[in-house]
Amino acid sequence: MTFPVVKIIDYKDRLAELEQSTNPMALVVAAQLKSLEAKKADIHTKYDVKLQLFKDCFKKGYTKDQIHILIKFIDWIINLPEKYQEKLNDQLLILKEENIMPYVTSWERIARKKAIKEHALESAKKMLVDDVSIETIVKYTGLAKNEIKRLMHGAAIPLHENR
Amino acid sequence: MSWKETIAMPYVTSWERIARKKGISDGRVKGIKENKLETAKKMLIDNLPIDTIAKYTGLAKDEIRPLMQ
Repeated sequence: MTFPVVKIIDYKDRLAELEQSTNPMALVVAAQLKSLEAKKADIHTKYDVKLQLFKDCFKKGYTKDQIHILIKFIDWIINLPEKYQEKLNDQLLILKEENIMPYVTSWERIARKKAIKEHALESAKKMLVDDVSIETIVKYTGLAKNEIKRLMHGAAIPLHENR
Repeated sequence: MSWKETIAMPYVTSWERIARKKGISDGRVKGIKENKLETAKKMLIDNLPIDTIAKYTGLAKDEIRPLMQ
């Protein structure tokens, strides 16, 4: 079995290029390079570098599995004293929460659509009780005639829509 | 449990589950409100009495009045 060999140092001058790439391996290499530099730096710089790398993980639209692995990797290559690590964990939690939003909105879209329909049916029922005409109900609720007729007959009676 | 499951599970539970729960409840509230207002506006165009609109949409009268302008 053979593996292609890549020298990380060769990428030292191509950091900008790595940061542009959407390949998760680009982030791995960038993290390696930055960690090498951070080794010489003080704790504060190390902390900043690590946090920035964490933030980068969330930027490129990676899947949550990829993000998780990248974070584990970064966590492993840049070591911080416990006090800083705790601070970083808090930051990471905030990052995760902020990045939940796209997931929330996709669920929200589905639930919103469903609720609109449900409430329209609810209003239609109330109007039917008052003998409001189907045409008027259609106008106000935006429901289809069929849907309103179905409400009138109840679910038990099959609806012959083509008659 | 496989390695992948061990790693991914906390993510699925804490992240996705929260997202799902929050999304569904937010979406529901927004959707209901949106439909109420939408219906009320159409009824107002037809000059339906405010009591009738309140009855059918489930909105409070105070919520309908601002729509009248």
